[in-house]
Amino acid sequence: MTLDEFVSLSSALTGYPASTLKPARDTQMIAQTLYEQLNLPSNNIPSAQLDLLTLVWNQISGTPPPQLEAAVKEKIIDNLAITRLAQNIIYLWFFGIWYDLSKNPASFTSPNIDHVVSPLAYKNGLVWGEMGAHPMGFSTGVFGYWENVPQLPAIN
Amino acid sequence: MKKINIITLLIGFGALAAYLSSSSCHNPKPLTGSNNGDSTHVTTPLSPVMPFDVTLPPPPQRVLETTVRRGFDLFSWDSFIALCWPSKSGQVIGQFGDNATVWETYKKNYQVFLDSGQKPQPWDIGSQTKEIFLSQIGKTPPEMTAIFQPFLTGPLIDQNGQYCRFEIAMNREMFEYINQHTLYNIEGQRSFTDTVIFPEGNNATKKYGAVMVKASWKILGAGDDTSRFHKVKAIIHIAALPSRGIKDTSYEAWVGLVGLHIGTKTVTSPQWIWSTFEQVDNVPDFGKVEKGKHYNFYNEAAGDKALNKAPVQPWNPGIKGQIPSQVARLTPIYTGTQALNDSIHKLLVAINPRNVWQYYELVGTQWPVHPAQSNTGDPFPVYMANATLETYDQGTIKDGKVVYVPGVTSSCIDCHNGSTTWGGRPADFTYLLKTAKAVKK
Repeated sequence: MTLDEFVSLSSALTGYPASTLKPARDTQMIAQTLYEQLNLPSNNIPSAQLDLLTLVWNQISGTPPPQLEAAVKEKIIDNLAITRLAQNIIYLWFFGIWYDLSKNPASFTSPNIDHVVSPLAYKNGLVWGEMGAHPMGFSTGVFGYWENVPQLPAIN
Repeated sequence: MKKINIITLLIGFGALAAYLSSSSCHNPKPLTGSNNGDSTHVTTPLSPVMPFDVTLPPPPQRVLETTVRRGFDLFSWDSFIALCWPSKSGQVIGQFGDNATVWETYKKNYQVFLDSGQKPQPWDIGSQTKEIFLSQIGKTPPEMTAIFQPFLTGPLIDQNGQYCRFEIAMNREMFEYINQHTLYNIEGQRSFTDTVIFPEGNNATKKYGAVMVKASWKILGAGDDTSRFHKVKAIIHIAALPSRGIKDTSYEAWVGLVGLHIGTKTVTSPQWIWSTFEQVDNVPDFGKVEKGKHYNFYNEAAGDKALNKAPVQPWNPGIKGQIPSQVARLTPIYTGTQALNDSIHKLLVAINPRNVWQYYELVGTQWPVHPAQSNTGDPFPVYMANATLETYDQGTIKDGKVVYVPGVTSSCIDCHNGSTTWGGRPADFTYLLKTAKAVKK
């Protein structure tokens, strides 16, 4: 899977535009950092699984946007051979964490494999914006921002 | 034509074109300096004129890591050259080796935020300081750090066991804003209900914005090659510390400039542009010590056990055998920035082979890449540190690799975003306002 394929697939999985996930002027290289997790030997990703996900994505990536969501659900999310890997990519973007592919992430049972990918990946996790919050110890708000009600993103 | 040929030989046509086109305020004619009867004339394309704002190539040619970064680095060098230009008219930078500079005529923080809380003297009075007075031994004024070290910062101790000293100065635009809005004392800040917005430099209107300068100095002594420093005779002040039996004392000493931060507020970078320079002998890059070289803040024989860790505190220079600050640069200077440094150094050497300014290098420039995206504007590079001003916040070493932590590792914009006034309002990226005192009645 190439970086561009990873970004376009990530856009389909997270709902965020590719230009948000990998801006033209990318200061923090988050997409690159997350993408490198796919090739990290210690993450134990079966190559057949990664190849299949890439193949399936390339088959459906040209689907017109109105039908793309349904295609992703049918071909990736409901496909037991690759759904867990797709799930991990979503976790990567939202939490900056890589979970043991062979385990249920909710169980937190793989301390040697589960890991925060990088401090910047954690800080830039999509979950913070979705919650209208920020990671502990790091806020881009001006002094006194906590007096104001957090602005939650519009949910369709 | 002669100028182009000379400079083309020096730095290559591409670099020249980028340099001249990006230097918005460049004097179209080469500058010539003389020294009152000295018949030696010097011609240089370097300019004493400060840029108003950054100038970048057209959008299709903007690549963050290369063309855009170069544009900001050129802005930094243009600013440095203009600020270090001789304050005495008719001279060219480094024409006689060293020179008193323009930025040293700026108002110092202690001339603006008076102990009495009273209105400071007008710009033209008191700003042409003949001597410098160095009291600060932390990056920020005593009220905020001094020897007490929040965030594990400072003091910086040189290889001769002496404290480094720091000072902060501001340009007229910044001073007048503070003065006009009575932000020079606590009461004035508390009654100020507007948002603090310092003037912004603007290429279109040709107006200057606020500029603040933070300098670090070392006391020149054994092992220092004084021909490689911008130096001044300073009054070194040691504040009283009764609990340690230290009395308030002052003495005169020659000090050499080892670091210079320049913060510039502009219309395209409302989070300010942060340029940082260092003397070239300060520190080695981590893991790349030059054998036998004398560093200002690194001793090869001392090893890396105490690397980038604050020294014993309170440090007493009178006690022998202590290990002073052992500092290495954790993030090497970007190769494009280093190439630009080399080009500018050649221009400085062309003015005078003994030009002290050739011994200063741009460590980096940080700016907001997406200024409207958030309050911090997505700074780039994400982290940036001056080895003399953010010595202990450069990151940490883990398993031989440098680890950076958001909110902890030095980032000019991220840190200064937290600055406030005494009224509990954002201070527009400067901690200076917090050094104001209450009015003494």
